[in-house]
Amino acid sequence: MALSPHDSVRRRLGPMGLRLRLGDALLFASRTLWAGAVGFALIALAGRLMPIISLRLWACAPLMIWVLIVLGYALLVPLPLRRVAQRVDILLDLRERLSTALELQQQQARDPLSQRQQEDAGLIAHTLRASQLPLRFDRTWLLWSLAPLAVGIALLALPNPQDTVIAQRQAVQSALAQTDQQLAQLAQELAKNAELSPADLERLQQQLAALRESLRRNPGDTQEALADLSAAEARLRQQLDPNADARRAALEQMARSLESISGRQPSQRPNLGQASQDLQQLAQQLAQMTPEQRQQLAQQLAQQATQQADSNQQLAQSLSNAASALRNGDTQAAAQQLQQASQNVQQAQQDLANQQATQQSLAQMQGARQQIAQAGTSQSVGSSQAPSQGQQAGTSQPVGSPQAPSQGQQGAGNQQGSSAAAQQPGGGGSTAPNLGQGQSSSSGNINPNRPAGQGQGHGSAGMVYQPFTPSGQSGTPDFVPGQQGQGGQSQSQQGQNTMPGANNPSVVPYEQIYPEYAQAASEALDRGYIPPHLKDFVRRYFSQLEP
Amino acid sequence: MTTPAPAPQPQISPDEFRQRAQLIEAEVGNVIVGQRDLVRQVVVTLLAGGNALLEGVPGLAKTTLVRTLADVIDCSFSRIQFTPDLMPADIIGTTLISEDAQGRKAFRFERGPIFANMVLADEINRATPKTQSALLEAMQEHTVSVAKTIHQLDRPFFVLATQNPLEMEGTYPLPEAQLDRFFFKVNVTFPTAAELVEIAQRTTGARRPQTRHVASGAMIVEMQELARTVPIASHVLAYAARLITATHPGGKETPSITRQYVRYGASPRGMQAIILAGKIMALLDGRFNVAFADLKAAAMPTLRHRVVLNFEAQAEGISSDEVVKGVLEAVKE
Repeated sequence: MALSPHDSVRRRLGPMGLRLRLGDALLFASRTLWAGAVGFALIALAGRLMPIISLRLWACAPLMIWVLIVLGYALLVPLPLRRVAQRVDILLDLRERLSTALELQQQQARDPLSQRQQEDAGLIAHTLRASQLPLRFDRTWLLWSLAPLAVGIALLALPNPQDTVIAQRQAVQSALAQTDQQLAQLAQELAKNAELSPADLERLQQQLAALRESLRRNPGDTQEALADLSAAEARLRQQLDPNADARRAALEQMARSLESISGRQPSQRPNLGQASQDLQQLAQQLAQMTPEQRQQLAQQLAQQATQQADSNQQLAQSLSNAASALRNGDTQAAAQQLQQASQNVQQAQQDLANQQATQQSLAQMQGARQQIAQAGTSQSVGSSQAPSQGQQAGTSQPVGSPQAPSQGQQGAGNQQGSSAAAQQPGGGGSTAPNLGQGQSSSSGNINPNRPAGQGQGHGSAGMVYQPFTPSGQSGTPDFVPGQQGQGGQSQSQQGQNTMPGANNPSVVPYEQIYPEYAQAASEALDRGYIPPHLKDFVRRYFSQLEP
Repeated sequence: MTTPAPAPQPQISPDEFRQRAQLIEAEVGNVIVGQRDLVRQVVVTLLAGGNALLEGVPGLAKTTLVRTLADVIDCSFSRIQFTPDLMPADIIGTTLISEDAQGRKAFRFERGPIFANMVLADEINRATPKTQSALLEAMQEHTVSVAKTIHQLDRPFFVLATQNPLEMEGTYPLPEAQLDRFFFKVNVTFPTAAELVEIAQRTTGARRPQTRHVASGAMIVEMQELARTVPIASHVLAYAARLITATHPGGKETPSITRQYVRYGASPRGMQAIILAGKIMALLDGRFNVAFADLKAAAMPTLRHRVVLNFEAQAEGISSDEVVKGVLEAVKE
């Protein structure tokens, strides 16, 4: 069945409309690509000036938006059949045949000339193909768009220094998350501590919660995290009693004395709660004591009062009053003073528990700070790690310096110690775990901290404490020579280095260098730089090193 | 609101229209060498039922063209040589006292040369405005009013006026109202050397070119009626309107050249002319609808005399043709 001229026109205009949409979209795309390309290049450039996670994805975002806009333009811009006819007329130079025929059909024109016109348009439409419509590009705009595209691709393809920063931030964020977990665990542990008073527990937990909150908000900034931790540490440090150790020692001494008085064997670590009970028992037993026993007890109490005078004045006063009352034969007053002393001991026990919890929190924060500092620098200094084997350019330490480089030849087999100790640009944390871990090809347990001892060195590689620098400056790896073995030579030798100032290996007698390190450690212990739970470890370590 | 009465369907077909018009052009071309555009535009004016103003130097076969055209379509022809002392009565006629056979005297209207199918108003700008205005009614209404009597002119009626652009001294430039009555203003160009040789061969030899009647006045009227039935799409019509608007300096889509050089733009009669000319051009091109190209082809002769230039244009030597060209470039389809 032959189509009417009108149907023929309409049927041909359908695919031509699609072709026109395609052509329009291509033209629009070629004219607007520059916008997406410029956005692409700008984001790629910004990615070199500031760290942007998923930079490639973000850089492609303008292009994706551009694609969406082009698609939207192609699909949503209205293109009625009448407009299609008009455009086809113009593009194919049909002298407005199709559009006029379409309009005449809509007007239902029946005059002979209108019918002839529609027949003419139908014949013309029958010969039309959609492929006759040209697909146009705006070459000028397209070429201009290539420039920012090329720039953007080059910026993305070339190595980006911000990648290191991003990796560092991610490492810091990971460390922050780990720290958050550790702080949460610490808060739980503190909650389980029965010796802590509720007020102290709440205060500590508030501080920990505030710290966790600030760390959670941290986007991965090392300095900010370290600052938060330092601030929290400073707040905790203000709550530390510098005489806590002395008080504990004095109380423990008193507890041992009370154990002796009670006829028990003095324990290594006496219980202060038991001491409080002992005082109460003594208060109850005063009436059954003989005058000689009372005098003897008064003497012991006076002695304890003297010992407590510096650390716990209230307890000392109570003990002294009890001693005076006993000497005067006033057992009732003595019992009251002993009861008072018992309460003072209980209070002191709570204070010490608080101090211990504070120190524990402090230690946790210090550990977290080291962890974050290492995370913040391990990525960025990957290429600038201090070269092993003592090849620290131009920083050769003077011979005999206590800050001698960390590497020294050790063992008899010329095993060259190597350390991965990295320069720590921030945080100033100890690099102790890396120090002295010599790599030796010889078998046996070799203490790298010990000088060459004809292969007879012994001991294990331990942590060496390095004082924390509050200013955040780089910490310098320390080296503590090992104990001299039999027949060994006491020496601390830098690794092979061709740099100036490192040509001559330093040889320092062990006896000469030890006191300086011991003094430094003692000062560090006194100033509270060392976490409380490590103090004993440090003391034992230096006692073992003693020549 | 009045509903226009349905026009009688023309008997002539579009194909016949085209063939007949081509025959007329061919016959005229036997006498007139070259000047194809001139012939085409004059034929278009004739078929549109309009009047044309030819502007050109003397000796370019303007009179020959009109005479030949009258011969070809077998119509009456009269020529009026406009001079400063020409009076309106010399054109439209005058009332005389006449005496019949019984000796009774009565007023009798003696028709002037305007009563012809084709009138050549030669050098129209040499007559006074009063005399020029005598043509107004005839050109527009195809009637002549004399002493309360309206005389209908025969159809087809076609005035072809000429004017010399060089000898401006002692002339009376046509007023805008008079110019607006002309369907086309055609600039008659000087023939090329080859055309001059051809002219010499045809006119200086022993044989004079002969024409034959290929149409009649009635046929021309039918062709005029058919031309008016050519359909035009609304967007093409809108384009014509935008063209006219663009010739006015105060319009929204007015191009800069119009704003700068035009004092008054084309009248609605100009739009009627451009559309009607477009319809005829479409038929002559073998199409049954008006295209943008038809309007563009008709724009120059229909608008050039309807655009009134300002002093700045005259000072800078800008012609109305340049303005119309600028309008055509500025107004998009």
